[in-house]
Amino acid sequence: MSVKNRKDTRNFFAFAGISIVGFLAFYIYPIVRTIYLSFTNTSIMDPIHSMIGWKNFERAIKYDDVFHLALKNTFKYAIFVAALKLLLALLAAILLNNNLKGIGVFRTIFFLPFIIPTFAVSYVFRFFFHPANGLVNETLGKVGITGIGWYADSKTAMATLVISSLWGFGVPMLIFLAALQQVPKELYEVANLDGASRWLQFRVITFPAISAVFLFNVILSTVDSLKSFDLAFLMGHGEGYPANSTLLYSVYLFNQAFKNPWNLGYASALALIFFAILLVLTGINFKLGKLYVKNEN
Amino acid sequence: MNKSKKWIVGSVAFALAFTLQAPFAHAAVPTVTVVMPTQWKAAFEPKIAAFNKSSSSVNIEVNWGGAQDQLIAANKSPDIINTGDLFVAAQKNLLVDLTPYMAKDKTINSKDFYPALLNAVKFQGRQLALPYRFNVGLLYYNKALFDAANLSYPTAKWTQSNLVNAGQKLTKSSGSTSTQWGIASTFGWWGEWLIHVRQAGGEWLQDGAVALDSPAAIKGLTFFRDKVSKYKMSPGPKDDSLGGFSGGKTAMEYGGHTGNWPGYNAVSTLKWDIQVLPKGSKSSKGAELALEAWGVSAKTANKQAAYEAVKFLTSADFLTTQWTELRLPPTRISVANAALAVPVAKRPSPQNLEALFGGIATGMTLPRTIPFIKVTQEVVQPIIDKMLEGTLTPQEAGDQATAAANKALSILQP
Repeated sequence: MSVKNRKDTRNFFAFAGISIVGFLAFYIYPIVRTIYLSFTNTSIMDPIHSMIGWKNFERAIKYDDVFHLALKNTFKYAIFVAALKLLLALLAAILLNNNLKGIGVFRTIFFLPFIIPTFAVSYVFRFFFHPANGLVNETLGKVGITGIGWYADSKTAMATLVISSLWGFGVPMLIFLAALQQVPKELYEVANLDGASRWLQFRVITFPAISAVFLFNVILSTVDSLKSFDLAFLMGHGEGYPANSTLLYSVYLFNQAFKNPWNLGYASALALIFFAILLVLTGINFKLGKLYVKNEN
Repeated sequence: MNKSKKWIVGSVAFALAFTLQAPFAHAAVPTVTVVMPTQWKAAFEPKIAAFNKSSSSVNIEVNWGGAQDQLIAANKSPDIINTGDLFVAAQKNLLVDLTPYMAKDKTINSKDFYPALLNAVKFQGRQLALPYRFNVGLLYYNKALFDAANLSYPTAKWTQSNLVNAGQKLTKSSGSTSTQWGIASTFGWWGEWLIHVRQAGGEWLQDGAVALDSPAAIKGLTFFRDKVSKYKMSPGPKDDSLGGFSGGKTAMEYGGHTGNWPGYNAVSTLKWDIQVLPKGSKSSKGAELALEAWGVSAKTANKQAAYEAVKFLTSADFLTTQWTELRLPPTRISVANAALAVPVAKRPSPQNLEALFGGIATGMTLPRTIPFIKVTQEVVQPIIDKMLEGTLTPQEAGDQATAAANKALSILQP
């Protein structure tokens, strides 16, 4: 090894060493450990465990009805939340992209919910949607509409959770906004001269210009809503209340590992199954992205 | 060497010797760790400090407000583990069998523990922990609401019809809005409906299989639903519970939990007491008996010292402090007798301690040879929720719960 190469190697480890150690310790080790645990019957409360092969995976896929329900709930939740969040984020970004007076204040207001702790949000929404004396049902009552059970009724609890989850569209909105600001203004001026409608301008100029960012947001929102945990945990009392209607996959997974009988092995298998699902869905998103993402060239 | 130099050298040598021997002298008394909630600190810290000062066999170090499960998961298990009747099965390899330690200990006085409570933390013939507090299902009532309605307080001779009669009289509404409930409802866990099932002669588990579809169990589930939909004396899932029993607008609570006592006593306007549960449609028995206990971690470096610490934490002396300061029901007969010796009028709420300690004899523990919590919460409870919503009849709920729970058990215990 030449002196220069030795020096480069030394510099590489000097600058990247800590990051590499962190990456190995906090990313690679947990992944390897999870894979190992998924083939065992490990329980946090039992120091004795053994290798059980594919049994955890078999149990989940073949026999565990609650696993199937949690997966179904999660897909239902993710489809609605991801789609509605993207739509809201895009609409808000288009509105905020105008040179209105005090636009900075609106940007802050739209982003603000993102920094509010979820537990506070859950309490606010519980207050809004309380079936007996919540703000929403009381308001509906004043205009002669009988309110519904919202989070207390298994038929409407998922819809309530979806609505409550939409507050956090600040991040995709900011990403859209940044992309919108890169679209050359001249294109719109020309389109206006040609008499193109707003919708046509969006279809022909705006969307193709931000399509790559749109794909990025689709992937981000899909993955984000599929692995949602905190709001569902808080609003469903940690157990998908009522009647498992709000039991999301991540909540179910958490309960397997950290509630009696603390089955870490089974929870690890569930985590790997979920990882595989996320991988496939992200792949599908990329494939679909090819249909609408415009190449700059 | 002159005199002053000799003094300096002598002093340094003494200081060195003193400093070096100190850690070794301290190490002679093994330290064991335990996790306790922060709200116990004021009551227990002086007591534990005094014990540490006097004990030559063990030093107890408390991790106030620590997360025991996380410590165990991180392989940093405390030496003493807080467990309970529903946890010992899952923790059977984590907890040390205390039987041999108790057998050679002449001062433990294990006969002073209520036998039902001691047995509840015995698993496969091994005494895995010693109980320190318990809960038994009781009828909680709000004295002020009974007085206002000019009704006499519940007695030990009450039946289900007395309960319904009083519950309906104590339920009030203004238009379509309920302003007072006769009896609270327990949603989201088995705390109440299982009592009704058992008092109707049913059982969760019969001959190794879930039996919530038996006629008796269906009768119990029907009463649980009827409290809400037929007798209209309890809030349903969509109703305003008015803050539950502690809100002061609910006259009674069926089952309840002794762990809620500090919360009830924190409400200065709440004047309340307890009574044994009314007789159900078939039996008076059926109140849930559950307990918490201290066990020794199998990973501890010094099992004997940890046992000594558990012995202290479940001693009559310590349980007396636990009872007088925190109102956590003690598990030793002598401490209960001392509490019962206090004249009723001089007792703080609840005053009817005869109902509390008498409940141990009639209370029923939960199945602990199977993953009861997991199956009940994940599989059975969601079906009971639907019954309360009115989506399922009690018969349908019982049938579906039985089928789903038995399937889950067959997977978990092939």
